[in-house]
Amino acid sequence: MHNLLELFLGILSAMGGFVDIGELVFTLNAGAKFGYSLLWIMLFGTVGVIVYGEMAGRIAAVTHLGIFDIVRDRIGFAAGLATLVAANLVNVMTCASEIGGIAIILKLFLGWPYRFLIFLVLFFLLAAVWFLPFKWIERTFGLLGLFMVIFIFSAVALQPDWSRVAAGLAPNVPEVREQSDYFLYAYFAVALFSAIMLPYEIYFYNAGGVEDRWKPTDITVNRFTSGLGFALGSLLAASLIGVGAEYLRPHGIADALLPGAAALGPMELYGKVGLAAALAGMFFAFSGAAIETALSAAYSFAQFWGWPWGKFRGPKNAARFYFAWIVVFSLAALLTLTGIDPVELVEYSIVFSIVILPLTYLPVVAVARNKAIMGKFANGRLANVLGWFYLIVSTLAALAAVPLLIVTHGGKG
Amino acid sequence: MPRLRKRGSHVRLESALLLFFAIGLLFLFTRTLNKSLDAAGLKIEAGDLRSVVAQAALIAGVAAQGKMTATFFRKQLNMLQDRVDKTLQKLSMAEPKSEIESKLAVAVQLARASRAELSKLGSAFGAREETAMAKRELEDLARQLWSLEQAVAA
Repeated sequence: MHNLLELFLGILSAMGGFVDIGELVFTLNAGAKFGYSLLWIMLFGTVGVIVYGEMAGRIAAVTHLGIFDIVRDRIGFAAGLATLVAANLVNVMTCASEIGGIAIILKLFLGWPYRFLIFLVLFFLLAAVWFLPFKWIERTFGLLGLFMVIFIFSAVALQPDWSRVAAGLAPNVPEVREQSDYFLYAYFAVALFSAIMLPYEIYFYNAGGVEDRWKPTDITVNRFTSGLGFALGSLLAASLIGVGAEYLRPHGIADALLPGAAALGPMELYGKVGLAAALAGMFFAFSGAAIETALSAAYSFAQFWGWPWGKFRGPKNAARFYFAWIVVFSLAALLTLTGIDPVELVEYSIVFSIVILPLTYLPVVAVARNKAIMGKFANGRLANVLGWFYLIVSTLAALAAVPLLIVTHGGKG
Repeated sequence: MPRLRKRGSHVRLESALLLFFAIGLLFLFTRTLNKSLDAAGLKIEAGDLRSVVAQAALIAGVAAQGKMTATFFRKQLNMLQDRVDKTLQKLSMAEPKSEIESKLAVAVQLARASRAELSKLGSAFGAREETAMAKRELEDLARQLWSLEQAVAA
């Protein structure tokens, strides 16, 4: 019974912790610009993140190795170091966007000055990570992030044409007004794929397995958590496409001012309760994501340089690991304090994420399939086929991402 | 742990991806320095402005139904105003290509009108009639911006 409850809470935490500011921005705007046409990318990317999440969790359960332990070992020191630097540049950018997003949500709720709120958010996040045990961090932010289900209720209440929703689940090219819109569609497809398969989610999921002291007997828990948790989380993200398609698009909004504009639909449908639920959901979801990015950066540094790491060790036994996440939070807050637009920042961090994605996913699939390392827990045929397939797709997406960013004027059109 | 045999193709791929990463960063920095404005750029700015104005109209509609808090109303409108100000500044400082000069003048005029409407709406919270009127004005502005976008695209 206890194990079932743990599994249930784990799945719900994975669901509530799935959406971050990057997903919010790209799903809502994808719906506003292209209706349901990009739903298939959500489906496609969700299978990918489940495949790699499951592998990363299994590696943690069997070998207790972190992602950057294997990055350094598999792709060599020089390329590993370049990947480490690029991955953490993206982590800091993403963390800064999350902090900026949280500060905007608080500003919309409390009306206090933005820069003061950035400091408040920084202290809140530092205190949360310092004082809460790892499992509590996962559960608190994951479960409270479930306030985001207001977007599922809203997407359904907006009475979508279900045949159009179903049509969007199959790969398609929408009817567009101009030739340049095809590039914009491709840009959004790549960015949505990247937002779902963000590398930091895999670093964090893998490190979480080590933090929670997973053993090979936990592999079934890992399968359910990554499979069901990520799938339900993706449903939540897909509902944002629905809100964009049914609420923003008919009003002629193609580029919403987020995160505030996301709350307009729930507010119109459910009044102030809808507003409170939407703001609370985004607050906890972005806070969880900010913590994940900062901890992921610290995990990757510690794993790459061979420092002792893990919340479970405490600050005395993992001083450099603790120092690393404090520095990442502080750098991200400083970046936000410059006045940079967090939404614009996250758009770039998502595009850069896809560029480094193959560099971190290649070692994962290489280790997960290796019988000498994983023994009887090595990939089966299906995991191997899917793993290599998604690696090839993410490499193609990585090669297309920057040219598309340039051609579409930074995703503007 | 047994190591993977490192192959030349891996190194080339890694180098290519890291090079793309660097190009992307370079694009990020050069984008902020570019002041010249062509038809595509003007269409993007007009589209941005239309989205802002349409959101303000939506906010006015929800506020008129009494479903919004005053803090949300004020702060979200302030942020929309900031965005209009930025667009207006960008349009005013732009060095336009000759074929879009007249359309740029229309865009600047519409941006100014948008700013004025947003500030009128900002002081209308709680006053249903004024909010509803501002909504109608904003919807009209959104339509004009849409026409401008179409004219620029043509």
